[in-house]
Amino acid sequence: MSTEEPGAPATFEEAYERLRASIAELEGGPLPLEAAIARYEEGMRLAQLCNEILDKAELRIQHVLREADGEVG
Amino acid sequence: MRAPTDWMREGPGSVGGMRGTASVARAAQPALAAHYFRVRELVAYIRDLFATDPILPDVWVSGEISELTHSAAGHVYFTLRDGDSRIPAVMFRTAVRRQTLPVVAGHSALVHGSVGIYDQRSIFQLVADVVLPGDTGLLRAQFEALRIKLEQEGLFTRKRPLPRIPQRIGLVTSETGAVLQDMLKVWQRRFRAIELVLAPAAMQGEDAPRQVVAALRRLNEFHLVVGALDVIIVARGGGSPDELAAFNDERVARAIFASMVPVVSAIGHEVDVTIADYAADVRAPTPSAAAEVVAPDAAELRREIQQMVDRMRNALRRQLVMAREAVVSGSQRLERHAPLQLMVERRRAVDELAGRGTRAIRAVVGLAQSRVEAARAQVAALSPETTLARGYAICSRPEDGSVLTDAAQLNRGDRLAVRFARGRVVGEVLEREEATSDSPREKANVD
Repeated sequence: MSTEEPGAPATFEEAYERLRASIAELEGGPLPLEAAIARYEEGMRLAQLCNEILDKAELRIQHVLREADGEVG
Repeated sequence: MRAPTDWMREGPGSVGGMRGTASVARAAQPALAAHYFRVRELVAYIRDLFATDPILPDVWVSGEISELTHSAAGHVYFTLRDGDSRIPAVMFRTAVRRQTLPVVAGHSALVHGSVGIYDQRSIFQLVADVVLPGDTGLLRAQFEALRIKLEQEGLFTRKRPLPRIPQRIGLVTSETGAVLQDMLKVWQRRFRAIELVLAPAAMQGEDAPRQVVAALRRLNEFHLVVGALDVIIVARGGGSPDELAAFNDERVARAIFASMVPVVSAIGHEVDVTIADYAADVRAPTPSAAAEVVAPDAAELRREIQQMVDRMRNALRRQLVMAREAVVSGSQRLERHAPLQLMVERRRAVDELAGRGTRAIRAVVGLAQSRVEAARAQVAALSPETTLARGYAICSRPEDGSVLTDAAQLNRGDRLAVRFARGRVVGEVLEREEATSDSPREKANVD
């Protein structure tokens, strides 16, 4: 099983990857029914989250690294 | 631009291995005041001068092609002109066959070859092996030389894969140009869930290479210190060869190769392939194409997510069906193993075992009985009773029961008991007859 519930995924990629992992587990072989239902529920939550991120994401330039002030460290 | 020649390996000052006949002639006649060469000696000497020159055997010459003729043998003759200066040139058949670009009279060109003496007429000529036509011939030659050098260093072979879904993208481009806006438009349409880190740089002009290198360095520092970048795009819109020159700069290629983060290059239009493009992990034909390459399409992702939801439903449904089947087959098994049935089965098994046990014991006991019978017969055969039954008798002293085996043990008047197969009598010795001396036993006693 994947690492259990590491908190809500912050990015689309994380949610997407966890969704894929849930499916892999669900399709991978017989799970205890309770675990299968838990995977299913988590997968549904993740799918919804993925769609929400895609819907609500705003494209932004978060950082501008200029030569004068952009040097790090 | 020139490769090391034999001359360089031997070191300056050396005339080389091909010492001319002229110098031999001079050495042979050192004392002559009126020194002279034979014509062919002088020609050979000059030819050697050309051949051992550090520059002439391997030169790039820029000029205009004129007086172009094709010989029947397949060679190409022309004159390379530059103002009032001219040099005759020949391109031999084998080189002509390799030449893919057109050689056209009246066009300027950059020609590579060796300058040497054509013996018979003692004119010098350029033996050409490559003709790069057009004004950009020189740039092209420099480009080719750098490309070959960096290729041999292995800068063009490393191609790292890009993540399918990037989270954070570094961008080297001009802050003011249309390029950035074009790329933002692509992402706005395709995939907005990305974080952009912009490192502005001049994308043309003399300072452009340095600025691009610095921008790549800033992004790599950001990647290390602030937050991981999934990919860096170096983007510049279309322009003249001069405007794109920064991306044929060796420093830029090396900075791209040094990047810890995979680099997508998008320089000019599709036809413009720069050194930076070769060094990049992925070359995109245009900045908009680069934006598409690095980001997935949200509509496609939505479809994928829907498919995954369907797959999850199916998988769970299968699990539920399996669970139900498990319950049914489990209850069937339970019935098979119900206690009453179990006891009947066990009893039957016990009965059968008991029957088998009894039969086995009977067999064992029967065998033992027959053995005992046989043993008894054997014992009876060995017993004195049997001997007595055959008519023998046992004599003993009635006083102590000691068995008598020799007549000498008795005297006349002694009592003796005789035991028969049946019954016993006691009598008295009336006569004695001792054993004869030739009897074995008697002998043994005497000895």
